[in-house]
Amino acid sequence: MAFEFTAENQTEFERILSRYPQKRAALLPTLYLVQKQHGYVCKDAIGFIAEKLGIEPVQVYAVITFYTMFNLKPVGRFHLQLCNNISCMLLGSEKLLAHLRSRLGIGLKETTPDGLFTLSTVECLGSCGTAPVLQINCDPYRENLGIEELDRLLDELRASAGDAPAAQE
Amino acid sequence: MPTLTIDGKEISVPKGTTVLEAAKTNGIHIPHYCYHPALAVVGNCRMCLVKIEGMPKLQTSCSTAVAENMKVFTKTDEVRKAQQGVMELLLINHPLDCPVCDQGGECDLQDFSYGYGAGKSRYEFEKQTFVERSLGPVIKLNMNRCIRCTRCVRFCQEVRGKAELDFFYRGQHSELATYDNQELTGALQGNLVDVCPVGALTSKDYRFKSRPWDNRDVKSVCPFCEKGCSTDITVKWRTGQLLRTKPRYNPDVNGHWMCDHGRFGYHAIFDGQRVQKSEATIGGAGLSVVPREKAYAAVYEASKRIRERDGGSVFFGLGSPHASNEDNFMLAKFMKDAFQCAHFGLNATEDSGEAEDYPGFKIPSFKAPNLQGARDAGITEQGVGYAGLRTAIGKGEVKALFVLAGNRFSDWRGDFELMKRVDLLVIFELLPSPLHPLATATIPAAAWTETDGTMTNMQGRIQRFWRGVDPAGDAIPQWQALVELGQRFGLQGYQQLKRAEDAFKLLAASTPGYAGLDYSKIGDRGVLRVVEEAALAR
Amino acid sequence: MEATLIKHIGHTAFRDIDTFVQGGGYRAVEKAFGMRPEEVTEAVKSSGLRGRGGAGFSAGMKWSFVPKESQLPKYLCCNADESEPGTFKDRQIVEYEPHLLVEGIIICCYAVGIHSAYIYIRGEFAYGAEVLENAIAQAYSRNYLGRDILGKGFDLDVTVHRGAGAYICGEETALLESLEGKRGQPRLKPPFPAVVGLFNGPTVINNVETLAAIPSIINNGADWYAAIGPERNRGTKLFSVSGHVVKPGVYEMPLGTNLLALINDCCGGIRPGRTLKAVIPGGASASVLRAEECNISLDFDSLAKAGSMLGSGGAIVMDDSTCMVKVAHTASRFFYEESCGKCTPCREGIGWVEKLFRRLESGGGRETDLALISDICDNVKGKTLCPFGEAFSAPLDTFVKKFREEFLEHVRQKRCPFGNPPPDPVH
Repeated sequence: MAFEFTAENQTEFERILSRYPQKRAALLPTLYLVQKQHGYVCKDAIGFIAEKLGIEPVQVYAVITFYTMFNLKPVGRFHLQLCNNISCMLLGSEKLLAHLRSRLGIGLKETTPDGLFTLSTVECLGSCGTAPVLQINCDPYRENLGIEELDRLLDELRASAGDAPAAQE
Repeated sequence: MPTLTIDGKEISVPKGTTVLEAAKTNGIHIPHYCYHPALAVVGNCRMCLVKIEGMPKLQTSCSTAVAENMKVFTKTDEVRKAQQGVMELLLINHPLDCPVCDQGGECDLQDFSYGYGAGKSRYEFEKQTFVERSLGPVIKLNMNRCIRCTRCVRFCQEVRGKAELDFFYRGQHSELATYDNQELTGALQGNLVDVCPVGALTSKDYRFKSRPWDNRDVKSVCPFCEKGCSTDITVKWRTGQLLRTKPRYNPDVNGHWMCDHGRFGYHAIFDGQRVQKSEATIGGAGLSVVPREKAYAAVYEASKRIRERDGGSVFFGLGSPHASNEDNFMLAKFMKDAFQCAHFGLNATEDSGEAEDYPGFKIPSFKAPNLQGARDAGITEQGVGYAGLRTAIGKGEVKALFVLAGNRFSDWRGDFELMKRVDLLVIFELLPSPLHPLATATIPAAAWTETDGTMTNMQGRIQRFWRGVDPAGDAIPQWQALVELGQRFGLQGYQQLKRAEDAFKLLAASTPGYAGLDYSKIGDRGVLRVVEEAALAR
Repeated sequence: MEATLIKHIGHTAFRDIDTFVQGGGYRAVEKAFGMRPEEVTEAVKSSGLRGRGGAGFSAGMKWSFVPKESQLPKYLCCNADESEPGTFKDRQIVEYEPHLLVEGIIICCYAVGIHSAYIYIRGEFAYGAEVLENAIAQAYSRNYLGRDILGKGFDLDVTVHRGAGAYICGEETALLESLEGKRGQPRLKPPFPAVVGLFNGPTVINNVETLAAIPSIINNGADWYAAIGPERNRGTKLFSVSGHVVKPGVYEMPLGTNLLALINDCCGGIRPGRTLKAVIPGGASASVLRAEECNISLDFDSLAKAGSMLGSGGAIVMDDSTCMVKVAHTASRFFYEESCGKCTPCREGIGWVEKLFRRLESGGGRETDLALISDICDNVKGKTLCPFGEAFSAPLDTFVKKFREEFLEHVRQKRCPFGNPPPDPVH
């Protein structure tokens, strides 16, 4: 099925294009827009973007895979991205990771069977003063996390997804 | 012209020249991978680092322009250590599969590692591995061997004009690929094998056929269109087998490249049914294989009869844009000497109408190499061209026809009927002619790889090709067959024509624009013939 | 002394243009518009402001390298790709002082004759990007941006451009490639961006903090700024302090502030019951200082003299519970994951070094690994296409040299003496 922007996103896409003297420069913002609409960048979208920006699909794919923030496959509703760089590591991010793994029952780059959570580690989110730090999707960071805060957060997320809080393991 | 010194040697080069190029043109070798003279400079392999006095860090010589009084050092301890360091790092993830790698023996990585490497690896971890991929009918990609120099990526963008290859992911994970495993497109793919300095991109056509040390390269010219790219043909020493064609750098014609039609065109000639024996109709019977002399005798007898009956004006020579200057010239000369006849024509119906324009390489639509040369040699469409020939045959004005090899007869069925009206048909054949069954005599012709000669391309550039392999069967250069035939006719001066160059010298003496030329003057890159304005018009 | 860069840290009110203007905001724009462009550049030059992104090059000089006349449009790229581990200062400006940044951008563009600016902000700072978008929209609505700004005939458009997860895009030429919609791989220099930059036009690339410092220089005068901090290291600097201190955070202090004073006076010292072991003073690319080296002035020259660097001003403080081999491995893993892969020494060198650090931390290392790491780092240092090679080779080599005993202890015990489990495999 061919990819198309929704009417609203088409308007946004045209606004993005107007900000750059060269169409190709709109690639990153366009990929974000696709991801916002579709959750991930599907094959049809790659062809669509390439055509709209006057480049080859191989160039779109090369850019997508160079960066870490574009998904080529669907991810969970909440993409948990735990920083594991020096400051976060110094303040216990590894314990948080272990906890997340056992609580969610998944490994890195995996998604829970209910499709709610995907777990990743990321390299330095740039919030070392409030380590350890977690980013969920592209939302504001969750900072100064401990195990308890993390548990509360997971419950909160599940609740917001219309699920009952998971029983403590 | 800035003057600088490299390793103490004083050098003057034009402004804007890079240090690497300045060194190269002055015989100083600086190792490099990502630099390619015909592609954008990216400076990413870091192999060509040199010391430049006054600069704290080593500099990439590929990207540094020369400056007045610059002092460059390419062999200091610091430079050596840097080169060894880069070499070691290039090799830590590179497989040690040179013995089974097609590039082995002609690999820059292998060569420089002998020169600059340590001989022993300090890397004890598992090497990174990728699966082998096909990039279409022409190329195989072995990512394990890739050193990420990006020459191929730049080639696609800059010369082929379409981004088809790129790197996915980043860092050590970065992997060369096409989108969605698509096949490469376009007619310049073979060049990717040539630009790849290692064995990452190899030719499916050539792979596993031979090893470089079993081969020799012979200079040649591509015979598959009127561009006339300079080439090297690779021949296996032991078997004399033709293995591949590669472009040979010629700034005046093809630069570094050639197209796939030319590169792989040899298959159409050598994989097919090459004509290997002469045939003739003897005593009214059908065609049968005969020694060449018998074929000549049959031609002589028939010619004599027709000449006595109809005179010399019914003889016609059909030259060929696929035949060399020497061949076409000798045909014209023989017709004149034997029959005092000046009826020559040229079948110039080779225009495919399919020119291909890539940003860095143009492929003309006329798919024969020597239209210009045949015309220069006196074989023209003026007066009786091919169309005129057909009319003349129809009117019964042509009774004897000599046809050089390569004539394709686009409407051969029509021609076949028509040619039945010719009493003597002599055909030189590389591959069987559709008119073969009508022939009085056929002579197997040597291919461009099997003989010396010259061709004159669309620019009017006269280029030489050299004999690389033995002729198939009893095949013989056409000019030589015509000399032998002339001798059978008892023509004056034919005894002295022993080598292709002898024919060429006669051609040069009688052809405007060729005066004073000989093979040594033509050299490797060819020379433009000198022509007056009027003659340039097609 | 009074903070000029992060006066309103923690207060979202100043995201609003009215509040900002009431507090004296955008006055510097009006003042600058009353000066000739070259006078503005001159003021920035004589203020002594050095780039706050890490390299410390004179901001005014950088502006003056841009040719006055240009066939192609000129651009400003504000580098908000803050990704250096230990650094989180620009985010404070972006989130709490967005108008201060916009003000600095307007002044820079006026001085250099630029009519189009992009703020390249790391993709993860989606929230910060939103804050900036709002601030910019407000600035347009008050005609601080757009056509004929404040009736002075000067036009300027500012666009927020989000990166997408790549540390290397903080390198200025990689940033340009990324902004152009390409893989963020650095370009060869020369040509320098001031001559051939974004879309091939002459381009100024300045860090967020650098641009945010401009309004106060214009308001208070170059001399005022030049009186702060030691010779050649003028002005206040944002120091991001993280790790084992009581009060981590961003502190604005004059350059030349003592590191120990920063840790003890601003950050409340080391966690109770622990002692200082080491500090990485300028983000992960700066070489580590042992505790006894920490009585040092935080400025470009003093740290360079000590074999480290001020870099981004991100100090990662580590107490005596810290395994330096683990820190070194974590740093190496970061650089391994973030190497763009364009040039050989960086791409291959960091992969090798990461494996050696991993093996050492896992207890499988050998004594000879230490010399090997140093030699690989030496083969990388100064040989790469961009500063990334230095950014990892110098600090990683320093870990080995300054904490040799600790590395050897790992070799002897065949495990991490601090009881850390072997590192996770890289994905």
